[in-house]
Amino acid sequence: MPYKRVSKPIPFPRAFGATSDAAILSQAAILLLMEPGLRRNRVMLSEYQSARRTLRVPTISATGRRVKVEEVESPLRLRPLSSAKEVIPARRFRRLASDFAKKPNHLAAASLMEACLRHPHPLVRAAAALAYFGLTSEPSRLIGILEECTQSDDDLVRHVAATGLARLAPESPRLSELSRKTTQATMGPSAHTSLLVHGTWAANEQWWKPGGNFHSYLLNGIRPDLYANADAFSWSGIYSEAARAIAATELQGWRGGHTIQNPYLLTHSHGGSVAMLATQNGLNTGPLVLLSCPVHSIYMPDFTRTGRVVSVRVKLDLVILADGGGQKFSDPRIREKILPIWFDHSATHDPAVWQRYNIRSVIPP
Amino acid sequence: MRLLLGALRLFVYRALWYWLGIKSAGRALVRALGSPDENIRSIAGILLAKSRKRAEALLQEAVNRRENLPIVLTVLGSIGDPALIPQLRQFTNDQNPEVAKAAQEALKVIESSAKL
Repeated sequence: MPYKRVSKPIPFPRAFGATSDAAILSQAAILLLMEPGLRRNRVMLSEYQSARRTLRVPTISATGRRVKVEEVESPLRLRPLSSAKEVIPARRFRRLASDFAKKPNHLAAASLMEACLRHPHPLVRAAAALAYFGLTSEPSRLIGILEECTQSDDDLVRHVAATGLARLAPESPRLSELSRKTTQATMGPSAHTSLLVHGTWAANEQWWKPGGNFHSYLLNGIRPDLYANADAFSWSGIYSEAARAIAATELQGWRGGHTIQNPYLLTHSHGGSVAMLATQNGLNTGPLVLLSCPVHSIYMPDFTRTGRVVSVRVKLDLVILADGGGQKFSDPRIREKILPIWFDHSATHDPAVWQRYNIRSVIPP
Repeated sequence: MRLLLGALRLFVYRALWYWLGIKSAGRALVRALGSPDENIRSIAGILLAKSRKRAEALLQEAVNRRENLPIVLTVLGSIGDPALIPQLRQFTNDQNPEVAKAAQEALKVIESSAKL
């Protein structure tokens, strides 16, 4: 369902008093922007400081306190989520939001979020489920809402819900169903299968695994041909040349065992070094995307075996600084995209950064 | 700014431990392997791995406490000392699959480097 383009978002609490597309999108954004405050995620808070100011997102202190479901369900006369589906009329959200604006505390936030779980619009329900996870005493109830929202016809609702599930319940069977569906629907005669190759120390990270936030983000729009089975390629993540050399051989072996021709490679950090080494060893690939890849003279692609090579990085990456690698590829065959972000090595695998800086537009099709 | 300060702190810890022998600074570096921030974990890992054998005693303490075990074993694998092989072998069947996998991968890298 396409939304009308919003040129002026509606701030809190006014957004909760309307039902237009701008109001629905603003409500979802406000709920999602409340979540980093509850988690005391200062990086996210500072990243979204300007958006929080524009939308006048209320701030409540992160005490770690969880609000009991009975404390909000009874006063609001809400039926438990497990009972028959209840949809609350729009005017009640307006009142709850203005109560919260007058008295910004945990109970008021929980009341608004609990009510929003019964919002007529699934986007607001999904956003509320995500935001409320760290505040309610019974967060497991919210997984069902996210799972239900992944069935929506609306792309945005599906993406928000799937990203939330990937973060809060990566073991959800719904996520594997989504991955399977997309893979089956798109893999067939595609010219490429895309592979995501993680970097050093990241073998146990979730973001690159099927169901992880970055993997899901790529799969659900950017690269629908992204390999999404459980045996996705992984390497030791050990910080040594020997480990990267072994990983390059393993990548070749993995590709051979999967009858994938010329994979489109999206790599992070030294995952890029592994991929480049593999091309030197004879692996043919499609386009090669290097995200925050340290520059070392021994790791360069064999350009006769790759498609276009693009490097996406931030300014003065601190991890690359510690690694001792260079920040900039000097070979003109590697196209560079420098994001207006400083220091953060992991920013290039953050879906929010991809969206914000439209990284999709700089990687090869 | 927070990330920059966090990273600078790690470089200072490393200097204090590596050059002045202040063990508590080294331990702080090992603790940073469990940071929720991927940047901080990565920088701590790189600084420890680059310290080679000098970091082994600190990492050994963490192994004994099972502190951040998968990444600590990965750092030990990065150091690549063949003397660590018997100890890594003990973890290859660990009940935590992430620990077992990290130990197996570290062993694989160290053993294949030793063969060269």
